[in-house]
Amino acid sequence: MSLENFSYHDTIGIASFLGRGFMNPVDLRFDSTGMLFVLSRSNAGNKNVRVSAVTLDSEFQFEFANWGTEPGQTTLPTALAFDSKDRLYVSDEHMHNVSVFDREGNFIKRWGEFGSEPGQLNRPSGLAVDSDDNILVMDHVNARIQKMTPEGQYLSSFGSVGSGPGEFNFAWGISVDTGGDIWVADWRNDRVQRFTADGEFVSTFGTSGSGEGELDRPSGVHVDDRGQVYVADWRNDRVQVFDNGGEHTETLNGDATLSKWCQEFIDVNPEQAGWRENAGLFEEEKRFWRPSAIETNPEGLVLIADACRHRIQIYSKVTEPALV
Amino acid sequence: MAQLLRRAGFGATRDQIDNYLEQGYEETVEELLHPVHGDPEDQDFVDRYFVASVEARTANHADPQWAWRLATNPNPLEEKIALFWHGLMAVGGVKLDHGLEMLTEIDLFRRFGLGRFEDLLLEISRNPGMMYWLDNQNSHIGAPNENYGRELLELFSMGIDEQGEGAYSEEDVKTAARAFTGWASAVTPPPFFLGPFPMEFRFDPDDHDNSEKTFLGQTGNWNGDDIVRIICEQRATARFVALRLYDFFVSDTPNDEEIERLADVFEANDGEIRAVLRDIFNSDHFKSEDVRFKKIKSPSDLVFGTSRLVDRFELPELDSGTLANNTLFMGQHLLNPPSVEGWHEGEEWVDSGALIERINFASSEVSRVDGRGVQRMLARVRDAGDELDGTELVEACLDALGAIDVSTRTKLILIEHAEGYGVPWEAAAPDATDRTIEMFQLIVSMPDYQYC
Amino acid sequence: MAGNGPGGKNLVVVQLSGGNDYLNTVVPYQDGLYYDYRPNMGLKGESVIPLDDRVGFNSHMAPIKRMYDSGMVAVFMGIGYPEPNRSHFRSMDIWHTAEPFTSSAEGWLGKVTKALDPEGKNPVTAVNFGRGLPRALAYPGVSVASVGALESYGLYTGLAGAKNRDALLDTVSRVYQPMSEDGIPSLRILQTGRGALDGADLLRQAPSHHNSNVEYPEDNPIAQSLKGVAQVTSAHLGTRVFYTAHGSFDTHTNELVNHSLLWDQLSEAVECFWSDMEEQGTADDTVMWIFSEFGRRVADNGTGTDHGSGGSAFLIGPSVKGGLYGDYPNLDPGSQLDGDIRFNTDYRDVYATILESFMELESESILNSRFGRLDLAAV
Repeated sequence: MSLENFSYHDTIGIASFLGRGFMNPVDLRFDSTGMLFVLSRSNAGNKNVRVSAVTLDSEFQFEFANWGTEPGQTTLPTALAFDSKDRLYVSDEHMHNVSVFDREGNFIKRWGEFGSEPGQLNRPSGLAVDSDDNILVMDHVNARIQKMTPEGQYLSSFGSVGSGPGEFNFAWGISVDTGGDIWVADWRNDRVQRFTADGEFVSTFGTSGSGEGELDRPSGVHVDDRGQVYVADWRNDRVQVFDNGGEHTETLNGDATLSKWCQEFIDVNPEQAGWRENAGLFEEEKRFWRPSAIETNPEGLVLIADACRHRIQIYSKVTEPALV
Repeated sequence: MAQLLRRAGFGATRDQIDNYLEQGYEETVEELLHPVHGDPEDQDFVDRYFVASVEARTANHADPQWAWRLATNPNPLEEKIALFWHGLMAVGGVKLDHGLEMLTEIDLFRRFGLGRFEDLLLEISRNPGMMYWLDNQNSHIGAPNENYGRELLELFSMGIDEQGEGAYSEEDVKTAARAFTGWASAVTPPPFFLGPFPMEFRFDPDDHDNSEKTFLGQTGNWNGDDIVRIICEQRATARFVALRLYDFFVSDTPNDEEIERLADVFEANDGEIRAVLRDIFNSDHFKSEDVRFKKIKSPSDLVFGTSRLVDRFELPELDSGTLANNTLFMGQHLLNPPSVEGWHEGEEWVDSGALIERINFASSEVSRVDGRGVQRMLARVRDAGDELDGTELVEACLDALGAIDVSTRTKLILIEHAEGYGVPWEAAAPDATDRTIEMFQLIVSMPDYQYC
Repeated sequence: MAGNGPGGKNLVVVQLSGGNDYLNTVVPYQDGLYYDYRPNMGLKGESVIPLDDRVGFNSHMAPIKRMYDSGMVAVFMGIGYPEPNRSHFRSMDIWHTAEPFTSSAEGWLGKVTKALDPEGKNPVTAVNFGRGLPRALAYPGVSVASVGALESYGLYTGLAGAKNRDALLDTVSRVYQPMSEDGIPSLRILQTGRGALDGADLLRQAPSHHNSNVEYPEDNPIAQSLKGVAQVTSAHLGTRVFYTAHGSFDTHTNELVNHSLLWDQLSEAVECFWSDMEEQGTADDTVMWIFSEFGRRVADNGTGTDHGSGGSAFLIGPSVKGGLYGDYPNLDPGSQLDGDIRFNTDYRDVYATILESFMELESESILNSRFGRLDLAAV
């Protein structure tokens, strides 16, 4: 078993209905320049959804894809993906479509409509882009992954409902590794499945439970450039790391410190700083609460969208990962 | 049977009524009285689609959770009893701005709401949200805050009469407050930057008044649980609980004879709520014309009853997440009752603004032709006959809407409306569906539909 | 329909939801402490329109400044209530019920409506623009019309297709007749239904009574609400209480942009409304009350401000004696209350004044106590 160690690096975020901060961040992606884009999911009645662009040193830049049904708006957004031309794709489970933006947040177009015919969508969740710049959409109620052109033309699909190999049960996040293989967080089957770029089933790992290597509704999967597999073990409130063969290597439970933005809030709200001190839940504050998605960068940082704590927890890899 | 399901639940579809009829009335009562408690199968779906309701920072954020259960729980009495206690032991978002704790409380009512009243009172007395809501935080040895002691007696257990008199004295209120000193919730961090943290109950023995106390004539070194025990021995408590259950499940007009009888049942069964409800549901009085269709639907009855009828939600979605907005527009802000007294049931629910909301909501729900429930209702009407005259069409629609009834006058007007399009209504005619839907829309707009 | 109840003016309420930042509304632009506490959110130079040598309006309130100069705007500096609560819900409740210490289900304007129309004869004595009834208007037995847009108010207006709307309305109208014998459905429900239908008819037709040269901007929600108020006023339906809301003023972040936009919208809307009232000849019969549940922290948080206490409120109309009322709160650390300003005018004194001096209503039964009256009526 290969071991990889991580050290806690930093936390970005604060609960916020708009502007600087996030409201239930469920996905995050870097563009080619290293700018971080964070997707806030919010709630049915609260309408604080948006995509926020922030730098790694907690500088809030701008936001877009706010609440609504008009072009350029989102209602129940689920996932993000960038293609090689820095176009950002945002899936929406209420409108059953995918919106496309440039890296400044300008709306380009959107595609997709409700249905189960080829090219139609029923609650698109996870998104990924393959090396040909095709868009892979986890069309999750239809239990299939559809491959689409950036313009939304249907190319192919695979998957069906069930719990056998190649079958999905309300799958959520997806990831494409450097070799082109497709990894799927098969949410209600409590497992991760791996497919070739053509949709051929390769392997699976994970069973229901809360023990080491077991999964309880995995929401996100991400494979880094070394082949390490990160799984957002959503209902177990942890992130598990696996090697390329699906062997468990490490578990992250959350180590957050107060973010720069939280510290600023505490500084001008001494009364609330006092409550926090009196409560003394400093260990509880560190932990993940429904971690939903993972992103890595070439500098060795691992970023985790900590959905119910409105922040991004960042780890760094401290040793060279073992190659598999 | 339909009456049972309207009162113990939120009404039922015609198919559900048939299934229950096959099972038998008393067996259905028992099934309703024994919900299987635990996280429902579909809890993960609500959490996934409404992630902010997992960490519900405000009552409003918690809406998608409870609304989903209200709209879909296969044992409706589990939700109905939670609504009942939520209205009686009202804790509201207006002060307890903590949605997570509000959901914990609703679950407490599901778990303990049908059991022994004493257990429920003890649980709610140990509930951190309640301790905060009624200021027991500020109740200290030597300086007791009387709020919890007073409301425990006045609003939760023994009650007061129309003259504002209770079967207890001011001295008893003060004693109860002393006995509850040291019962509080632990401090939690504010939710404004990391979201909320679960609240926790904390008993501080150093802040508890350990001196001898006389409460309702009994003397001892009483703690809060002794107070609860003594309260539950009182006839006034039996009568109070009987009255409130009667008011909520049977009729807006109190019936002294029935209430005394139910108080006896309460006492004979060690204060078990389930036993009182069993008696209510199986009584001739409950099944009689005296109470049938004579109780005003609460906004929850109307909203969740109608959405259950239409059966449109297979998965949590935006509309299910915002269902509670509709009860709010009709005057019932779930998880945020107007005051510690909860809601006033009865005709007060229906003012002109609320009535417009009720009619618009219900008529638009029954218009969802592609909904599973509406499809089944349309099929029911078609099955009533290929050709229906006005009376037959109205009767078939009333039956399809869950075997409901309307007054003679209302029915005559509905029949005239049906006849206005020419009769017979023909199942094969191109306008058959439109005409049936229009009749559904009208029926749910009737004043009669405001009753259950 | 003639006005009902005693004489007196119509009250138009504008609620600033979310907590309007008082310090950036009426700005103490000569106070160095203000700039010390507001390194990022402080308004300086052209961002302030001076009222005197101490305070000025936010520059996005230029239209209100013009009205202020004409003497029709009373500004309450440091209005509030004892033991401030920083929860939106609770604080709003306190303003709505006029009860700072106990939780009550009865709104002060619900009581006003009851006093104006004790028998509930007029279904549109009070009209709320927005969906769901604010607690301020809640009172047992009081019916209030809650209107989104007047043109689409009433039954079945959102029904898909709705080809059959007239047929439905015909039959529904036949059913909701208060019949003499009482049974089920009860007389009260039938009367309520009748009132709802009549009220909806009246309100839907109100826009046709309104001829005005004032152009309310389309993309400004509060302007559209106030246009609705003007339309109902023009129809002379006997409406005495109007309720509108604007927001959200909960400017924890990006305050400079959002707060400015909100005041741009509000100021423009208020100016349109009063021009219209002048044109309709109803300005003298109308008074406007603008309030918010609380102000915000004295210190900014970098990009905005958090929940505070004490706030600003305005009473506007030609019958109002304009000017600055109360003392501007002292920002000195020793004078602050946990990082907030201290109030110096009790909001219930202003309520009592609105009721007695402008609406000609006895205030004690409505406010459950006797409060002071301010000298606010123009002579």
